[in-house]
Amino acid sequence: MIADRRPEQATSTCSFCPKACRFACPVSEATHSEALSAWGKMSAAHQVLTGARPMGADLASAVHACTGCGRCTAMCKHENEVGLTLFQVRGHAVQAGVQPRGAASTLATFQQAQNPFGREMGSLVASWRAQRPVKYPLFPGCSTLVKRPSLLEHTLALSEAFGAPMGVARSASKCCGYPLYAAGAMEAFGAHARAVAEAFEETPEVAVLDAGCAFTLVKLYPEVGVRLPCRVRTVIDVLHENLPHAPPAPPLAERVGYHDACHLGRGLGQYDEPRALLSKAVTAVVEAPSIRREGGCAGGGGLLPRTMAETAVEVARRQALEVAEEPSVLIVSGCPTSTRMFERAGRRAIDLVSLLERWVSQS
Amino acid sequence: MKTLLQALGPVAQAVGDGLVLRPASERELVAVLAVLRDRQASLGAEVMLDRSALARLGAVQDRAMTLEAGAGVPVRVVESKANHARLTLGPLSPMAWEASVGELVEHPALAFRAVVPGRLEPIAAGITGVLADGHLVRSAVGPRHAAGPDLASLLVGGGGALGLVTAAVLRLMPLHDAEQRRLFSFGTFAQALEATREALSAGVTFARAVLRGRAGRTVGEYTLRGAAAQVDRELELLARCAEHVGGRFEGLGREAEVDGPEREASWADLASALGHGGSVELFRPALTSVIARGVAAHEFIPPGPLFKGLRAAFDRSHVLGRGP
Amino acid sequence: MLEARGALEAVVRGRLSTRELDRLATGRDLWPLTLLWLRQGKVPPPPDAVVWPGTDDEVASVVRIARERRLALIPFGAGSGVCGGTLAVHGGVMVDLKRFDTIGPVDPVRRCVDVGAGVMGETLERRLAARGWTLGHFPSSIGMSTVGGWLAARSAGQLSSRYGKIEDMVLSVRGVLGTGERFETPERPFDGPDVAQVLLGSEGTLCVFTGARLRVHPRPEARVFRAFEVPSVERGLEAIRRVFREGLRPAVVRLYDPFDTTFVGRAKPASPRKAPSKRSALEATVLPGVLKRLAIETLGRPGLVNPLTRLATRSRLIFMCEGEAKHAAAEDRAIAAACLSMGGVDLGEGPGREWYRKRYDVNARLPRLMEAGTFIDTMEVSAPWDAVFEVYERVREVAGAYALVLCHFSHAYADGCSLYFSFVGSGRTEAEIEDRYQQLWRAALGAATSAGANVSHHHGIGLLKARAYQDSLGEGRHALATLKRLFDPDGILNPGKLGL
Ligand SMILES: Cc1cc2nc3c(=O)[nH]c(=O)nc-3n(C[C@H](O)[C@H](O)[C@H](O)COP(=O)(O)OP(=O)(O)OC[C@H]3O[C@@H](n4cnc5c(N)ncnc54)[C@H](O)[C@@H]3O)c2cc1C
Ligand code: SF4
Ligand code: SF4
Repeated sequence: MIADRRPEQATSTCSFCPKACRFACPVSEATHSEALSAWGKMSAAHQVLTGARPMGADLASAVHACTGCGRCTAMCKHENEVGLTLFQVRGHAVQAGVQPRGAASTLATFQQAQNPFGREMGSLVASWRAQRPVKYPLFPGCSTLVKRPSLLEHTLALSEAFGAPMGVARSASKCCGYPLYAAGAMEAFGAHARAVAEAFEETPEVAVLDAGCAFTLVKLYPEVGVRLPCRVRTVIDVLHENLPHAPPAPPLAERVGYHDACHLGRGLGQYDEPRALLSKAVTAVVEAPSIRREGGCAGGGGLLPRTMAETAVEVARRQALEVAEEPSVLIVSGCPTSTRMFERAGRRAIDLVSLLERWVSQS
Repeated sequence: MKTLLQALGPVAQAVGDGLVLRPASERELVAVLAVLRDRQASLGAEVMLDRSALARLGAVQDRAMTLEAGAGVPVRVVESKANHARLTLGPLSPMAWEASVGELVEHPALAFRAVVPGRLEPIAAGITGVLADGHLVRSAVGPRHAAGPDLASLLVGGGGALGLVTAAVLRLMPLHDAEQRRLFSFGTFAQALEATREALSAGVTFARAVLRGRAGRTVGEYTLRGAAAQVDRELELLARCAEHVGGRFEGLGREAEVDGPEREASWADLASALGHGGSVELFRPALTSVIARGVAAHEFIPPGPLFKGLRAAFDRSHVLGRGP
Repeated sequence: MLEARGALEAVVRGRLSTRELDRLATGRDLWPLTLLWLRQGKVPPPPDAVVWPGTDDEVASVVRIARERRLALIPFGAGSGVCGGTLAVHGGVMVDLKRFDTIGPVDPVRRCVDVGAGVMGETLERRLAARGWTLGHFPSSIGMSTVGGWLAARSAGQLSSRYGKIEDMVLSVRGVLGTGERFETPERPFDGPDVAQVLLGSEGTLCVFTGARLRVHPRPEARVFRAFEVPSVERGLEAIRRVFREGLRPAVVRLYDPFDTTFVGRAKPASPRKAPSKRSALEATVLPGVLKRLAIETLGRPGLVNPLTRLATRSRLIFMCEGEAKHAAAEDRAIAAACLSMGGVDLGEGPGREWYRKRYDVNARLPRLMEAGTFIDTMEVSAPWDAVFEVYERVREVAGAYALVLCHFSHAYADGCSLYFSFVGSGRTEAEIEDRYQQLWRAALGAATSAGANVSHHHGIGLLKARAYQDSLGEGRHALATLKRLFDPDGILNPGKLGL
């Protein structure tokens, strides 16, 4: 039996790399820290994996200083999966009992409630359930359900307007399990994924609102050997497909900056669909110096808002500046988590779906 | 003065009330400075330094297009030797032609030539010199280096305030006789300046330009010199840059000149001169600065603390008697 | 250090760390020798602390405290230097400049931009590009180096033949001297020497740079590539020399020696690599061992391998002209005429474009080679045209005893060009490898300078070349010592570097 040395290989590659992706890491940029660059974190992780240093609180905090945005991977000629590897190494922190507080509490809450909010989601979902048949069962994601019901309303209304009615699926009471994955609880994540897969059996196709959830279901489940029995699409993808059916409305006289959310863009390759939608909805779209595959991160992933709350907001603040230096420009994102992060950083931001809803509702 | 004369030996000569020092080598210059420092004397009107004996003129290095010359060699002599090898120092400003190699290389403005795209580069690829404290400086070999601070910069363009150049390896360029002039007119002087900067940034290397107001417009007359093919290429580029900014081709010009002293000027200085209805003549045009006629003298800018510090460190006893 | 901690912490408002993680991450740069140490499980002595000042005044206060307590301060950009410039050989405090990360608006009339020393190169260039401008500075390390590091080590980018090195782009620099005084160099026109040029290249030994005003140019409208195969290195060098003599200023000029040509010559589109994290367990376990064996048997015997490299003679020459479209095309035609007259065979634009696409890929080879038990390093020097070929031959001859030697010529000027040697070697044991590495450098740099080259064209001096640098200065070392006494009287700034 050959031991799985892939994380060791991945971290070794970074340790001997001339930091080729050095400028890419949003966490390192926000903290101005060499140790928290992809190179710094992977080099530290390498030492843990090779037994050169024990996993202590310091190292644990370093491997948690990652949103899993994948920007480093996009810049890396080896396409080295730093986020994935660091999340795996977080497991060592769990084992050693040195997880950062925010990660530990998320994990504990999840283990109790099967979601990161410690809420009973079944009744919440029941209150949203559609009264009539819909074309697309909708998986909003627990953070939208808990924190942003207005977005859910907009989604439902918009889908109606686009002739692709959606309704909250029963399976929506399940969390996709991303927090487990990001906390490094890989085994628990695998078990959770299998349970979610079962709940999805009843629907042939599902539209997912949160890009992070969609990414988890589509890309991370296979990592732990789970394939969903249904087709998973993002709400944006569905809306894009149905754009020809959108009611005619003049574009809003608004200048917006578009942020490629990491899980939607790099994660799922959806760069053109949101732009196509946006270009119909507003008169002017500004683009950041780095976009699409190389776009920046808003700081919401990888439990960063839990483990390094201030840094996460600083990441968002910097990315907002990258998207549009003038604070008056409205920032649009295809991921509710990113939108929230921009708002926390004091910027005007809106979900693409909500903006589209505003657009169609003027007619 | 007499004891100084004795201490200095044959290098010094009494002329009138003062002394003229004529070192013929670096070593002699080092010795001269040591004596002056010892006696707390300074170079100046009474004790004059004449570098004309630093007159070595090396062979033209045709491949590198360089020529080493002593500080006392007149620039015109260098040029004439270069011309024999079909090379030239290039389109220098009138003042530069009257200088010696030492004066050229030490001059804050003349020490640099303009290269594509509107950059400055020292005319000297290398120098040898003596700092006021008596230590020698020889610049790093090779066209450019990352070998520590640029020690040559203590002397190159330094106005002789920290030390004196004894010899320089001067950069040359091929001697070509193609010369062409073009005249463009612009709606405003700001446009004329913008077109000129754009041309420089795009890669035009004109030898001279005259900008002046005429009938409510500003005209720019540009002279290009070099190999025929190069001049043709750059003329076309110049025309496109001028047109891009709204300029209009007005013929071949008539070799205009502007009177007055040459000064190093910023683009703001040029704008100010043109804004006051004046005309300017540009030599050694670069985006950083130009050498120009027709611009007002600068107000005296007090030397910065860095420069003061350097003077205090290298010329504690003010032996060079130079600088502000 | 412990006594100074409170004072330092106060002036940088808490932005001080003594965590091992931060000290280790900044305690080494990318000097290949430290990578060899890493393989042996050794680390260079880390600094005692890292501070992140955010204003010139904070830097000045840090310097003053360091002077009072006789603490070494090491300015830190992004640690991409390759000469040990940021090693804390005397302990002390790492001064990480990355909080100086502002990029001002472009002044379109004066064509310049104010930039903080801690701005990463790639971030700057992307921001400028989005506004329609370029700095024109593209070192291979653009993604991992800072503006301050460029200034400190006189960096050169791949387009230097047109835009110059960083010192050619500087209008003024600002920062703090080792005395604790803040400074800003004047902009032309000024009287007296160009003090900026005296500070640039000081590698943290005279001052801490906090920002610079840099020249920018409009983004080029067009890029025109063309490559040639030339019968020999000499012919290729002669072609370059003629191109520059004719007043042409291509942005890129690269001549690969025959052996290097066999590498770039395979300019096939790169096949996507398999991510290390995606390799099969078998690949991850077995492959490194196989590669290591291979490296020892080939690279460990340079005496056998180097002669083979002499069998190839043809060299590849790449040009790229950029700027206004018609002018770039006209320059390209003139270059073609010069190269054809030197016996060059026109290979069209393909190889140049391919080089451009992969211009930073060299960085990716390092991990595999290092993991395979080799050492790899590069030596870049420049020389006047008369000496270039001699330097090439002498270095190849001497260095060939220790490593495989490849060379390309880039960064060309009217009076000479730079030579960029790559050395790849190995040995049976780590001790033997390190020994060879050290001998190689002594021999190669000695050969280069005695044949007429300088000690560095753009990587700087650091610790690696300190002795050779001091030797090369001759009597000039007194001037350097005077500068050190003037600007850093207590010797607190980056002690040990540049031989100071
Ligand atoms: C793969 C690779 C490719 C490279 N390619 C090139 C290339 O093409 N061209 C090139 O020029 N270089 C190249 N380099 C070398 C390196 O990137 C440069 O020397 C760069 O300028 C260093 O910048 P840095 O910010 O990483 O500085 P650091 O490595 O952090 O520091 C370098 C030196 O400068 C000092 N320093 C740093 N910042 C400051 C400051 N603000 N004030 C005062 N001193 C300071 C440090 O103390 C140190 O001595 C390459 C390096 C690598 C690893
Ligand atoms: S992710 Fe890739 S580019 Fe970044 S440090 Fe690791 S190996 Fe280098
Ligand atoms: S995945 Fe994103 S946050 Fe994590 S190391 Fe890479 S760039 Fe940084």
